Amino acid sequence: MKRRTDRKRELGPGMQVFGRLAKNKAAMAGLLVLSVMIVIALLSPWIIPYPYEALDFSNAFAPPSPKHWFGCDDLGRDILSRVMYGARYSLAIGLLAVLVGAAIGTVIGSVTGYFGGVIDNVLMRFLDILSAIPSILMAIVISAVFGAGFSKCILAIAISTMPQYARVLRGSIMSVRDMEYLEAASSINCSNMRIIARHILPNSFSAMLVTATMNVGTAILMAASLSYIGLGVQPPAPEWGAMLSGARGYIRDYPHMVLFPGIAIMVTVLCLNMFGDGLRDALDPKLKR
Amino acid sequence: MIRYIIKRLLWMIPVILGVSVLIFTILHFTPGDPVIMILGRDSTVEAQAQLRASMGLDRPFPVQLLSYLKDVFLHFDLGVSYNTGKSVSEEILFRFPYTFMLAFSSMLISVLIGIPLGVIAAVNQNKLWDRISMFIALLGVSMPQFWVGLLLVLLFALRLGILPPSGIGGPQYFILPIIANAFGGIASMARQGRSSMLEVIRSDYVTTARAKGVSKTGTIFRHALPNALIPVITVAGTSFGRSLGGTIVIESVFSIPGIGAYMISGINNRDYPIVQGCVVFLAVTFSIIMLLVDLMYAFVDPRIKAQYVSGSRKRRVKNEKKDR
Repeated sequence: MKRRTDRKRELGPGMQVFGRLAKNKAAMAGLLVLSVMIVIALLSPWIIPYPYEALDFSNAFAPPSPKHWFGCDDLGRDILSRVMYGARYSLAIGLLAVLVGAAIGTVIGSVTGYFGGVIDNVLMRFLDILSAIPSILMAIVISAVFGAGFSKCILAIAISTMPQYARVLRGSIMSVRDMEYLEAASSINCSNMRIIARHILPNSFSAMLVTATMNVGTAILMAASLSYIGLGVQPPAPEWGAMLSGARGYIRDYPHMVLFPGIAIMVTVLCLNMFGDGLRDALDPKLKR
Repeated sequence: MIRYIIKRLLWMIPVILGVSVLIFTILHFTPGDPVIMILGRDSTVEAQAQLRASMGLDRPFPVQLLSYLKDVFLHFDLGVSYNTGKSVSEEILFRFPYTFMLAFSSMLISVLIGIPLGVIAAVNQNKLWDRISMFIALLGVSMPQFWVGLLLVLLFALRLGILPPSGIGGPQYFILPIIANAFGGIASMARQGRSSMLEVIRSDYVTTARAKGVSKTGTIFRHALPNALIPVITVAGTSFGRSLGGTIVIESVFSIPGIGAYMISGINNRDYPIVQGCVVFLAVTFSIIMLLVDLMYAFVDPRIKAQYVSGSRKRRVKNEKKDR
């Protein structure tokens, strides 16, 4: 009986959140642009105007024109096609890095938050050590170890951002730990795993969701930086950071090569941040991060 | 308070030790043999074995780890570069001023410009100025730092020709790197400052102050601002970490011979002592700054100060009760 009313109450705020989110114009605009970008990324092999890896030396360094909207790079490759195809890399890295990082962080955060005591102490001290290294530095070291590449870049970003999720989750678990419904759950002989998965995580979900949404943008920025210094996705793959890295030598004479991939990164992250801000305000107007 | 400082300082030791162990272990098990890197693939096995023995790389892992830790913590010696044979510590100390200058002034600028922007935006909530500055701040946190750097070079160095594009020299060489590195920080501080200020403005004591007749500016400066700044200070610490990390990439954009450039050269040459040394050194710097920020936090917030000065025993008892 009690459980049913609980369910009902859970659904109510959920719908309220959607309502608030839908009213937020900036968040909806961000979501719209993001959706368009995701569609472009998914369909890119079929809709890009030129093959993204096709060399055409007669068009090398061609400035933006009706034929090549974003111009061409040093090898005559169409930059618009490369930017469109490159959306696959950036979006995939952003989403997967956050998923992997949040998954590891969830496990660590829920264990340390729920059990407390010695386990909490040991794990938190380990996270202290990880957090003593700024995350981009950590990502650089990890990708130096694993080597460059798409999947390794994801792993590097996931590991270096993992402590954040663990901390956020631990914090919100601590705040619900002494609630009566958890005592009730353990009194009817729920296992620890079940209490964590069914009762604690859903209640700590909103803080995690906001952190994760915001971090997709951060992950994309980090991936671009890694590629820029030559440690992330490697050229000739049209990842945006790698394109910027290849273009830096030509910045004086052909600024369009530097401009468009950067704008692509900026727009993507901007939309993610607008959506994330909206989500944060919708979930809890008082929640700051 | 002093006990708290000492406790925090002592706690730094295991953290730094942990960082060193972690980084050494990670890099130790990285594929790629430094001996073959130095001698080349077609060197004789004897020569390889001899070099390996002279570099101490033939010893078992725990022995190498212990001797590394001993060198670092007892002699402040971060080892020598595999390729050049030069002392890593010396090189880092030589390069440190550039990196620290860059990171510290970026943090300072982020705080000094970002917070006032955020506060002004919060005071004028939902007015045009608020909308515009918050949109710019949102743009700021959405741009990759190195790209901001490239754009600044393009505009101020290559088009207008008023500032040098890269390298080091007089103060004018540092203007663009600092702006590029601080840009994201300014934006995120402005956002933090705004939300923190908004929260305070809505609180009861601000309403009370207004009701008893204090002018609007008076309330903001006397009542709201001090309280709004407290959470922002913690963010300043993370902001320093961000600047320090950003410096690594910015140095590569502007060809500044700082620690970041040194570390990346170490990574590219598989010169692990360099990488280890740089990471440990940057982690120590970061921890010290975080400690200073925490102390400042305790210093400006009387509630937290009170906890550490008199309440440490009380707090422990309370925590124990809670744990039970």
